[in-house]
Amino acid sequence: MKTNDNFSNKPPILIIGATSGIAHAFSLEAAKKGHPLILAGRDLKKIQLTATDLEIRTDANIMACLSFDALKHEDHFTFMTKVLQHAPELEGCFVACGVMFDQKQCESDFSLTLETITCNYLGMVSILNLLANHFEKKKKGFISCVTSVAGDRGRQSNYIYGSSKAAMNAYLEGLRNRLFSSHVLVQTVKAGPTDTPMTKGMKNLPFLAPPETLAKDIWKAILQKKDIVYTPRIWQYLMLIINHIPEWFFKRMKL
Amino acid sequence: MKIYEQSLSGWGRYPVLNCKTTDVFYPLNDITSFHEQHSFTLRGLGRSYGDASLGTDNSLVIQTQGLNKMLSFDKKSGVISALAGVTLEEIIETVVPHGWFLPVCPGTRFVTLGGAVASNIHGKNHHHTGAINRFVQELEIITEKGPCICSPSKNTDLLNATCGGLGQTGFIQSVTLNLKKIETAYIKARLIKVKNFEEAIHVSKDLDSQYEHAVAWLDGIAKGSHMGRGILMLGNHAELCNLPDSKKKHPLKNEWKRIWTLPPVFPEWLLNSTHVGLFNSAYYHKMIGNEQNHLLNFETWFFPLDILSNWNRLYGKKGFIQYQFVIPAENAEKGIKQVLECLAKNKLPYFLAVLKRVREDNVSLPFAVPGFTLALDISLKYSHVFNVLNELDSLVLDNGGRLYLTKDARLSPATFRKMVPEYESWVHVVRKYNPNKKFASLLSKRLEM
Ligand SMILES: Cc1cc2nc3c(=O)[nH]c(=O)nc-3n(C[C@H](O)[C@H](O)[C@H](O)COP(=O)(O)OP(=O)(O)OC[C@H]3O[C@@H](n4cnc5c(N)ncnc54)[C@H](O)[C@@H]3O)c2cc1C
Ligand SMILES: NC(=O)c1ccc[n+]([C@@H]2O[C@H](COP(=O)([O-])OP(=O)(O)OC[C@H]3O[C@@H](n4cnc5c(N)ncnc54)[C@H](OP(=O)(O)O)[C@@H]3O)[C@@H](O)[C@H]2O)c1
Repeated sequence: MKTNDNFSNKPPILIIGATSGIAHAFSLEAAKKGHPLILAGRDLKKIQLTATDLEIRTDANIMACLSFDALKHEDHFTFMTKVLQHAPELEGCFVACGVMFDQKQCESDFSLTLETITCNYLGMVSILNLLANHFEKKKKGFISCVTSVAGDRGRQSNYIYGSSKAAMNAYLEGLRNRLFSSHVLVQTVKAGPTDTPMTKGMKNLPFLAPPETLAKDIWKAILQKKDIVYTPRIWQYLMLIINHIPEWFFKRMKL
Repeated sequence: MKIYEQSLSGWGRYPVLNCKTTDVFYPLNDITSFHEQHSFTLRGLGRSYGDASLGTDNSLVIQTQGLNKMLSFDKKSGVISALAGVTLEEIIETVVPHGWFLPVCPGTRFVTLGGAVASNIHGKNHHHTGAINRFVQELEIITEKGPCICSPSKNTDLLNATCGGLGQTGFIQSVTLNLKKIETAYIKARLIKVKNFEEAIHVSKDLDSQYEHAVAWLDGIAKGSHMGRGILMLGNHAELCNLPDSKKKHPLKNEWKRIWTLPPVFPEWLLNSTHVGLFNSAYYHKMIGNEQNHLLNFETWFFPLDILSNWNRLYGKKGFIQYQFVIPAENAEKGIKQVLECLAKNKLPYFLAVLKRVREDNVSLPFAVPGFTLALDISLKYSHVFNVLNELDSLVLDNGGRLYLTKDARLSPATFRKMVPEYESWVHVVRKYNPNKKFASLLSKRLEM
């Protein structure tokens, strides 16, 4: 397989949701390849702990730790300005922030539903609009955003979260269409269940992938300029089947 | 914070218990406000064999795997500091390229730092180096009274009670460790065949002072005069000049071997005396001649079992016990003989035995006393196991020995107290920092600590 490293001059990458399990593994992968990183997340203390950890494990160059809250749209413009102050040459962005609450609780407590949609969809749209403008002007770069296999079909056990991810899938598809002519890669990462803080204690998950597997898959997919990646790979085949189950039958299933 | 029920067991898969569980991902400031709980049990990767990391009816099991950030690493002096959930594998991956190594390695790298300290782990180099406590520069522990820093110069009573204290003194949140300098990632190994365990003891006594690492693998199936035949493995870290030219370019290179996994259900009849006897015999006879010298990478030397991620399933649903004891040097030969004879008399097979010389442990609740330790893996599918193990306890006790608690699941409180006279002074320190017994486990409950 041809894996051309198109970022050989090692431009900086912005990691949004840098404390996430998946983002930590991805950051390790990117740092090992020599890319400087900007880490962003809602809790600066945790972000700094993550930065130190990455530096120790990989000699990473962490350019900055910035605070970013997906729920605070009004701050995103200032955040973006700060990012570009630190890294005017920013050429890549990996987005892995999100929340997943218990479906039943979301059904009875609208504030949880609202947070799901605000964080996983509105917050992402707000920051990606800004990033898209930057990359469009530069005429290069990548945006890789983690959505979920849960966004492919709505299931009674998890459709509030699932629909926030489905909305992201459509958003990213549109953004990809817009930025195609600007040579910007917009990548949708449809992740399967992964062993991170998010899934701790959850029952009835088929199997949990290690975040390192996802990180490797995603890194490779970025180099290969893939638009949509299922990771771990097996989910591509499982979803091929699941996506073909006709609705009249799907609605009867206990999923 | 999510709290959920989870079925947990140690590596021996006995006992198995439903426990109330939660996870930590970032450092805590204080544990008592953490949750309104009767008590807390700490759990790393659950590689202790028995009930040391299992909860009680009214404790909350705090899993520390998510507490996995490194805090500092001084490449010049070889001092690393990390949160308790960081694994030994991660430490090795980080420090080996810079010419450092763990000062003490257990038989698996899938152990957390917190678990390693709480068990005061020892490795193939115990006779030479001692256990891990000798390399602990600092611990941050959350006791009932709040966070407490301890080191060889500060709160030493807490340090000495925590190393080997099996989580009873509090929540070890971070560990600062002195590393060992290495020139290469290889071990210069010398393998010597021994005819029986007595010979293993004698050869070991004669030779192991020249080697940092020394351990004997003994065939548990061979009978009669072959009883305890095996291979004594001696080794030192290789220096650069010991490497062939092909390896000199990247002397610190490390790539883990691929790990294999057994299917979730493994028929327990597959692991029986005939099969293991064949395997052991092949292993013993594979070694041609009485002595061999090899240059091994450290993975092969330290972690041969890690290649099969869940080999504990070989023992089937009922699980197994690793019976590890130490007997003071003066009684070692006699005591070990009595133990092996007792097992033979009761027709209780053990497949593998690991024998090694150890020095003293300088902690409050020590395992090792200068002498020999033997570890035996014993399947629980035999109905008389527990009775036989009780008999072994008396033999070990009569010979002035004791058991390694992190492998234990069944010792009685009375025997434990007789074996470990240091218990009273240790528990005194535990209560000084934790007057309300907020830290407990199924093991501490069983041993009435
Ligand atoms: C294949 C294999 C080989 C082994 N070889 C050796 C060996 O050669 N030498 C040796 O010494 N041991 C050996 N062991 C045992 C193992 O090293 C210890 O049991 C170790 O403590 C396991 O670490 P863990 O992270 O899995 O801890 P767990 O098993 O989860 O817990 C072990 C103990 O540590 C306590 N603990 C865990 N984390 C903390 C914390 N953060 N704060 C306070 N207390 C805590 C728990 O309460 C429990 O009492 C081996 C185990 C296996 C499976
Ligand atoms: N784990 C899975 O099985 C799985 C499967 C498919 C897709 N995903 C997706 O993968 C992404 C990463 O998740 P993960 O599995 O790595 O879980 P995780 O470790 O729980 O990460 C979630 C991340 O989102 C951040 N976050 C939550 N709310 C935020 C807010 N308002 N503003 C800024 N950051 C916020 C969290 O920050 P804090 O650390 O500060 O809480 C954390 O960094 C998420 O989008 C998730 O939906 C996960």
